[in-house]
Amino acid sequence: MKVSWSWISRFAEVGDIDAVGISLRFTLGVAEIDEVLRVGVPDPALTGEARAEALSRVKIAKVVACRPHPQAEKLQIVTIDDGGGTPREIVSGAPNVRPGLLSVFADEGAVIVGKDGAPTTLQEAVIRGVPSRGMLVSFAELGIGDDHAGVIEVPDAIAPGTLLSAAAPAFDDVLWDIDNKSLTHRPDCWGHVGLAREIAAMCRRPFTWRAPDVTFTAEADIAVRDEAPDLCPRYSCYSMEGIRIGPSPLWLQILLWRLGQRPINNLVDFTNLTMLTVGNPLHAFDRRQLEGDTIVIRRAAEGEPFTTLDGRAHRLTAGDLVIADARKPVALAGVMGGENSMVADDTTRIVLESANFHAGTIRRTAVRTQERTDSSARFEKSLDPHLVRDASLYFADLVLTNIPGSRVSSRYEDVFPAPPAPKIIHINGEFVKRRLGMEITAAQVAEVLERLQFTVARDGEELTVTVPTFRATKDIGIPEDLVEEVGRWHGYDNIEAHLPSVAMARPFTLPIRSVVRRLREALCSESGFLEAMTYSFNRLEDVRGCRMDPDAHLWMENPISTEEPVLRTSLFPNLLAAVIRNERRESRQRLAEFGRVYLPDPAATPSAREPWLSQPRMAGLVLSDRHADISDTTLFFQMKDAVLRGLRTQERGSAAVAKLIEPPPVAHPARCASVTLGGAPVGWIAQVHPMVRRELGLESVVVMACIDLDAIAAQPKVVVPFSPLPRFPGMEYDLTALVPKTVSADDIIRALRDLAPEITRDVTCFAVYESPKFPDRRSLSFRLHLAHKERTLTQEELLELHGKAVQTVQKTFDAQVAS
Amino acid sequence: MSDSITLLVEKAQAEVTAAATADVLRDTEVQYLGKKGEVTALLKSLGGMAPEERKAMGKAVNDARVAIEQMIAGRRGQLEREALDRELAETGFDLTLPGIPLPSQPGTWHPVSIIADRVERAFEQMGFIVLDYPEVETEHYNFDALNIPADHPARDMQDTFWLKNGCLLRTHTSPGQVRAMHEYPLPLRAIFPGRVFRYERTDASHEHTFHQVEGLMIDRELSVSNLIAIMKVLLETIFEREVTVRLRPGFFPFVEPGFELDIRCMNCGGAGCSVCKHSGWVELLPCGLVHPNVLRAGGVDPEKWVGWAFGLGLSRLAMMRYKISHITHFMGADPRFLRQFPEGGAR
Ligand SMILES: [Zn+2]
Repeated sequence: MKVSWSWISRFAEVGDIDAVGISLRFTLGVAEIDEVLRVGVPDPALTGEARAEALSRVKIAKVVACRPHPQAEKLQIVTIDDGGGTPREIVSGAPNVRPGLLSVFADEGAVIVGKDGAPTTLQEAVIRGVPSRGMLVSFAELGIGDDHAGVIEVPDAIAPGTLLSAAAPAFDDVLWDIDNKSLTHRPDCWGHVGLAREIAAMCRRPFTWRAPDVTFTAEADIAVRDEAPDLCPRYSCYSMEGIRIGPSPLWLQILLWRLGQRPINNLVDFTNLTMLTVGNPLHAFDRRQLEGDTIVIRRAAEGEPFTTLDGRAHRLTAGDLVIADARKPVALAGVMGGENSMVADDTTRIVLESANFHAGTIRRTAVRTQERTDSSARFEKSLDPHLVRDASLYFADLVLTNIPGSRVSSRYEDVFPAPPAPKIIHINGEFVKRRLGMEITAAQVAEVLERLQFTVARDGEELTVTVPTFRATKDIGIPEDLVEEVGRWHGYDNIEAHLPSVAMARPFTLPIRSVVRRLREALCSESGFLEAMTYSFNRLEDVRGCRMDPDAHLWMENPISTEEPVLRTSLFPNLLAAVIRNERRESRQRLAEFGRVYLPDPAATPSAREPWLSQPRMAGLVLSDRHADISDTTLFFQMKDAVLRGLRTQERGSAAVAKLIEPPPVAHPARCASVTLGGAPVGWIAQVHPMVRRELGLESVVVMACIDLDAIAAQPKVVVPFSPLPRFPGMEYDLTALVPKTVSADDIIRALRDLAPEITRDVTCFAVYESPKFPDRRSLSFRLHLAHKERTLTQEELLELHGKAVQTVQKTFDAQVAS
Repeated sequence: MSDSITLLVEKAQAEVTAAATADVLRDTEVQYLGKKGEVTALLKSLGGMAPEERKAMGKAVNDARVAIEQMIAGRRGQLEREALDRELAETGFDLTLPGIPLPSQPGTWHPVSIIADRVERAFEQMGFIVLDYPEVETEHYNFDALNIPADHPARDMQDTFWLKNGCLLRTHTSPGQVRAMHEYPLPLRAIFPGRVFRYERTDASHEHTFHQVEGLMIDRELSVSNLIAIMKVLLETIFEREVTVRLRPGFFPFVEPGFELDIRCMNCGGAGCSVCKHSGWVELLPCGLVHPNVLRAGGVDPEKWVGWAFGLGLSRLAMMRYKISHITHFMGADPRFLRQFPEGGAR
């Protein structure tokens, strides 16, 4: 929200305070200011006297005469009266320059916004042979708003020569741009009066604003019938006559531009100014368009059509609140008026509405109809219903002061059936002290609250605090809210930091956390994986490319892009997409991601509390090689090695691979394996399915591993006991055989282990060799680790074992043993 | 005649579905669409008809032809996939062969994981437990239980991804506050890091997906002073240098009083630079004393217990620590980025 310091100074005695300096205190004590801007001279480098000098060159001037420029058709030579006594001649190309026009003149030495947007200091120029000093300017040239249409037309009678900064204080001003979000809980700060009150308290200066006095007549013009007092706690209106629609006075036009509003006409501008000043939005109806003599506040009928004054047609719902005359809705309450009753250029009689509406209703309607207006933004914050009368009076006074011949022509209709009871909070000084953790007495607490216009009755430590109405609607309701008032007033900087002293607690580690941590260490610290993160959303083409069904995914109501509308059920669509993005640069990739997937559970019943789906934590690993042959299985066995190493750090029993019964669609149906830990399946390893590779346009050979981290965490911890060291020397015995590819290495290992179980401590396969000479076979080398518990092994035992081993391998497995 | 066309299409459908091999399918194709096929015969028979009739029948026959072509193409794709799967299943692959150690190469942790790890360790040393909560949440935990009822303007602060099933992607880690209160006994000291989502366009400093860590402490006696101290200690642990923090009022419905915590700009030391938008301060995290309504939602009696909570942006912190200019790098899975953080879980 834009704030004008010159306007604030009208309501509190703070005009001599440096608005730039005080803005930091405001940020630290009230709400965040995004930007502080000194306006008036578009060049921020100019300060002090130089700035004042430049400002003194911008003044009101009157066009006395115009004659054509001898050299240029579009230019005129203009005689102006700038109050200096002697008429001056300048050249102007603005289309609206004409004799009698009162405008703004920027003399030599003034700084304006040049055509390129940069500040330009005016100097004497010769324009098509005619010398010209200074120029009549547009709003945009003065850095006020974006109106380039022509030179400023001053509608009100201001003497030529008057400095613009004197005629319109908002010309030379300091603007704050307050972060609206930080005012969400401060309905009282959505107008300059409320802000002035806060700033006055902050600076310990008097707050001087009082609502003006306006005399209403005794006549009834329009009655009010509030059929929805729950949604409209207060509704007031009155009539005015003798209105003449026209441009607003110059000071108001400039102020509105400064506050981010485009001036429209006096009546619209007065309602806007009232909203920006008092904080309560108003609406003016053209009296001619209101049928009957009663305004009705009611819920809309379901499907009721209504066109707002921005020309948009809406279908209302029973949750919307409308203002209606005898026949039709004329406004969408608190959001926007109707096209059917808007003020026109020839309006002379108006009915002015000032009301208070239910915050949630206004917000719902504004969100649903996408009419997020300045009005709805204020009402949805829960405004103080007492603002209604202040705003009524302020507006009437503006009209009466600025439109000669205007008058109030009715009594003040004010339906306010149930003014809220005063809000009272009991609090004690000790509570404030303990919550803030600073030394403060009850008397000091009372003083702060009083300065912020709370009423406080103190009895020793106990305070009875009455909340002022402008803070009572939403913001302040419980003792903790008062703690905040005291804290921000004193400045949180003044609180000394002390660590809490608390009792010791029993140590506790979530199992999943140590699972992830150990796996991350094994894979990313030891096995050379780069830990990546990818989005939780999937593109449909990637889902389909991975041979998965988009309909088996959770869809988003409002995806960030229509191309990625589903939540991932697997880490691989995004990881494979990453491999593809990287593969031209990175011929070998090792990526690991630890993250959740989101599995829809069609059987789950919707619950108010728990999300009805499962969202297990998974590890997704990919190994890629752009130059590998598609038949090469090296990557697979590298992945197997890395995964089993990682799982062995988990202390949850032995890690192994087994046949994968139901390979996921993304997996190669043969080159895949189930991964088990302590006998339970915890994931799988697989080469990417060739169809997926083709579909996605993947150039590299890729092996994936998927580990269900929650499944690991669910496994009980197993500590493998120490095995006694052998007392007698052992030996190793190696055997190499050419084995049919249909035989698995594990089968041979098992057979070899069973040959002499009492002396065989371990059997491993340590080398694999394939040769094109034997397409159906591979050479496997096994090593038997042998030892006896009670004695040294004999040569005979070894020979016997050798004989049995050769025979078993040849007979059972149809293998050829190398000699 | 249109009946005979319908019959023909039905017959073709049955035969195409029954075709068990590519060869059989090819025969079926010839039988219907070949030069002497049944559809071709039908087309030829149109010659003797009156022009209007011929036009209508011609269109019907043509539609039938297209339908049969499509069913054959569909079946062919299916057979190809099945053949491929069979072929793939017959490669004599032995998964029990020994694993092959990967060539040694430095791996790295994601920078957000590194920062999360530092935060977790610091808090664990102060006696906090580390928890982990779901990313898909309900409106109840993400908003209602946090004192943000429907139609509250504060919902604007957190543009939300909604799911078709009525759930949502959590907009902050704060839902864990109430979950933790339900699950663990008091007094409670916990943090819960994780992925959060905001419905917003991505640019250099905005991402729809980022990481936060929520902190929650509930005890008999806690104050704003304690909160400031903990945050300062935490930040000094992460940045391994002295830091200056300041609190200013901030509105978050789930804390009261609520604050924004700013940190003195580490880029310029407070003199003003582009990182801090020339203010000397960088907004770092919202925090405050837990609102009594939130304690109540967690089944905690606000008369007896007091809590504080904070929500720290891990992505933001990682950007500050490593001077990362674009937040989008985090989710890009680009090895050139990921390789730059060799410190892993080291302290
Ligand atoms: Zn800086």
